[in-house]
Amino acid sequence: MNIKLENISKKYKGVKALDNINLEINSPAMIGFVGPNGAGKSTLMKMLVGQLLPTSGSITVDGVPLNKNEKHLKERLGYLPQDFGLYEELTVEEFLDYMACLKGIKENKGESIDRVISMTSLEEKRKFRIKTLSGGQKQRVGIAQAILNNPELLIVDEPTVGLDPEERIKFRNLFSEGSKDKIVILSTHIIEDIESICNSIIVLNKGNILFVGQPSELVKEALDHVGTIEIKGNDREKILESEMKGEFKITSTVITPNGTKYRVVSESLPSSFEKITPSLEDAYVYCMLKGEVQNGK
Amino acid sequence: MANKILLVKNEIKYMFKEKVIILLILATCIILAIGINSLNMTNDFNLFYIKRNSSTISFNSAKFGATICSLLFALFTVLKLDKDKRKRSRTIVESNLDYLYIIGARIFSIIFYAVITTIIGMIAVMAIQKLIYNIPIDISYYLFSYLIIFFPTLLFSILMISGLYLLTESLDMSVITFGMIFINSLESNNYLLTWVRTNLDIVSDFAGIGPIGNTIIYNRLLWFLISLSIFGIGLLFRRRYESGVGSSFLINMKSKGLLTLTILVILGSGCTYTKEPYTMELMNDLDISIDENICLDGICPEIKFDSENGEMDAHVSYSFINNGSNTIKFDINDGLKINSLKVNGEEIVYQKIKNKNVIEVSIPDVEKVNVDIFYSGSVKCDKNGVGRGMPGYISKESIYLLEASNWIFRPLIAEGDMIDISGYYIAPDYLTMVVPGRLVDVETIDGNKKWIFEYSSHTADIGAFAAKYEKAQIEVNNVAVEFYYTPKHEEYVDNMKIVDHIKSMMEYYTQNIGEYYSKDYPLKIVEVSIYKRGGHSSENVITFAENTINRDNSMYSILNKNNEIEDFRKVDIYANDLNLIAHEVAHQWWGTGVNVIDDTPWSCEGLANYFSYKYIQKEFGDMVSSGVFLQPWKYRVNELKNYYYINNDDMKEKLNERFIRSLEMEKRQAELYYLMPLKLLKGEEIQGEKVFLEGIQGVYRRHLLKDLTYDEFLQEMNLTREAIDVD
Ligand SMILES: [Zn+2]
Repeated sequence: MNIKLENISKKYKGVKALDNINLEINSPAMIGFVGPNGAGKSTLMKMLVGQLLPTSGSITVDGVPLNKNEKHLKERLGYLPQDFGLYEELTVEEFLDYMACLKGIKENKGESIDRVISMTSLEEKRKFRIKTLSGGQKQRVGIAQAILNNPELLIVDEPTVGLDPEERIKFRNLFSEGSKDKIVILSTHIIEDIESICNSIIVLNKGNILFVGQPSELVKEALDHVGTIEIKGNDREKILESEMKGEFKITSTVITPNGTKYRVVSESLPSSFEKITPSLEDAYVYCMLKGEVQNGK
Repeated sequence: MANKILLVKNEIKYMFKEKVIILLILATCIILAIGINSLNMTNDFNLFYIKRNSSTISFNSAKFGATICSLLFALFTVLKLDKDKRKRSRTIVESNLDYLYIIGARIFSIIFYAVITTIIGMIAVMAIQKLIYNIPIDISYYLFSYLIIFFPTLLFSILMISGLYLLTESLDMSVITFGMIFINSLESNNYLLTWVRTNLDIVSDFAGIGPIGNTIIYNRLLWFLISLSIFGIGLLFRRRYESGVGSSFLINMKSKGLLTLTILVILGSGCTYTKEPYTMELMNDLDISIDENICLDGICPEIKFDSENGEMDAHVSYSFINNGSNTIKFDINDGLKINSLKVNGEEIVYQKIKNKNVIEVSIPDVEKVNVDIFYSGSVKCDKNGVGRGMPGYISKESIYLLEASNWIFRPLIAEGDMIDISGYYIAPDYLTMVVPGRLVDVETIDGNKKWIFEYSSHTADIGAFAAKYEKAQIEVNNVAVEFYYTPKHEEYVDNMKIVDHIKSMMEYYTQNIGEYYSKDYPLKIVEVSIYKRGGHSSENVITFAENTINRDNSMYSILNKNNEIEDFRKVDIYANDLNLIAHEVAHQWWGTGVNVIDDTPWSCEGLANYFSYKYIQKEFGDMVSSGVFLQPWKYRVNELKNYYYINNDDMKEKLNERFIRSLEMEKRQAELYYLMPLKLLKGEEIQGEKVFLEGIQGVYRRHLLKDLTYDEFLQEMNLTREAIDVD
């Protein structure tokens, strides 16, 4: 499958939510979409699933413009939006049976349902009404319906919000398993979620793509821009003042026996800081910082 | 296609699982069962205790059911369409397929359940009719009531509210708008607008569906197109890609098929509404100017009824005495097309007066003018009158043509002293025709009968009535009375002693007013359908609506073995029914016998009501006559004082003319029908019954076949306006 976005912009009442996005995705791929809340992730996802039209630009799926190819896309799509509701009065099994029909699954419907129920560990809950399930279980039902038709393109928007750590790990594995021959797009504002599983990462902020590439490349870009410093006693005021000025960004603060240890990301790291190997999260922060500086110019 | 059917099946399956639909079907059955007796729950006193049979049971249940179930189905539909918005499940659902398919599948499933509900409801009502009331079932009435009235109402509700919901994307807005359309239908009298429960009060047992079937079907066609239009508009404005109304419309408009279809159904609805073929505006009371320079001398109608097609073919010759006019105007019926018009034997061109059902014919300035008009077609009635106040119809089972329909084109000229009327009606031989005047002969000509009649009358008001009548012939003081009624109501006529009552009315009037005006012409009393409510009297023919002699057999308990009143519970209905006939029979004395010149409150109505009241008082006693007549009359007369708008000139200017006109009409009615008889009762009170009635006998004798003005009456009765003032 091939998805191509060219010069995509989206305005809401004059405010740009997406600004001239260009992107090409080919299967197989396991892509992490990261960016702060309001970066335009959900907008972009809705466009990818054909529920929102760009103000300008074009999206093509397998070489055909999306607006002429929605059926083709939807037949191959699994989607879990960020904010969704289910038919709570139905049992898990009934809901999946209903969705299977919408997806046009005729043959092996029962097997497909069994498969996704087991993948999402909902066996015990299959005869329960959805309204009796916990938030995490409902999230799993959402995932189950998205993978019911074994989609070539699976798009999940903030799937791990509200999940406990154990469930989160389960989910990540679920997505990575599926990504061998298809496209999985995972949107999140939590770097951890994608660190271990995504082979590609897209950083989005304020409607702009700041980075597209492998996670290691993102880390590479942040080399020489991450450092630590340990401050004793009263000098704290000074460093906070510097952050305020935008000279660097503090990513973590650890109280040590001698004072406070700060981990910072900066465009030009002052010499007083000790350089360290950036984590993906540092790299992401650096990427955002750089983006802001560029935009500032 | 196969996928779409699967989608619908899926929706049907899951709607069933929700149980709401089962409740809806159950509720419908209960509502329909309650609806069987809905006529007795209205304030339409005249329709209480109508005899139950397939026509009443099926129609009443369907009409009542349609009213409530259309709301229930509309609500159910809008909740189903709003479901994904409420449950925030739309994005998930829409990621699988075009959301239009889901909307379509849901609407189709609801329509499927509407069909199921209709069938189950209909069977339930049939079961009640058969098992509880033990009345045999005539399936044709059920098919009419349920397939043409009940189900379409549900269908229109589903389509309209779907359209409104798609258009407004708001549950509240669509429900409110639908509610307005719904209420508008209930408040209207126009048969085209009453899509919820039709404008019929009842389906006639006498005439069947025939006279109104076409209009009901036409109403259904119109509203099918209107609801499709609303649905189409909804689809055109269906929100797309989270856009607003305008941008969504621009996207949807690209679907040329939908756009074209919607435009077509909108145009279709408009055309269907404006080009409506069954009704016209009857404007008899508006600006009729009578030409006093010319008078009608004779009229010869030669009519052939094609009752199978509801049409007639007419040749009517009029002879006039002309004293200097050069035109004659005729009031016509818009449904009857003029094929040819001759004046003194020569074909001429006539003018149709714009926006009026009036034609103008030029005539030469000679004394004797003969006009021959050849016309054919079907009689139209007023939009508001369909099924309730039809002045005329021709149907397979019956024919009802009152002069008010202008079925005989009415010349707008002075009527002479006596008009010679002679002619014939030809109708299928299974029908018994009631002709005006005297029946001269009946000839049978291949499947038809020709009813030849003659009459010398002082008006040209002639009617034609036909049905498969039973005829009771009675003679009262050398006057022949023919009572025509349908064999369907024979049992009631027998049990409730209707013929005896007619006889005793005649005797009472003869004794207390005077001899019947003619020994030559029989009095004809004719049962007609409920599609024209109440009664009517013109010349020697009286008609009254079927409800008068089509009541439930529980009424039989009113009379005991000796025909005395035993059970007083329903006696007011019985008294009212007899009063209707007594009122019309009294018109044979006041109206036909004596030409009472209108001078509000003075008219023949006051005298007719006074004498029918006297008759009911004699038969039923003071308690009944006072409760059923006197008290309501007094109440209505008291109300007259409250006509603030009319009595106050300042207010009058501010109100619209139509409203004022309707108020004035209502006021006049109350004065003619209620105030005047109360005045007469006051006179009777002053003079004593004996003296008063003797006075009236004198007046009748002196004015028989002549005019009677209010002043003449007062003078001859030794009364004054002040003396009989009622406060
Ligand atoms: Zn009258």
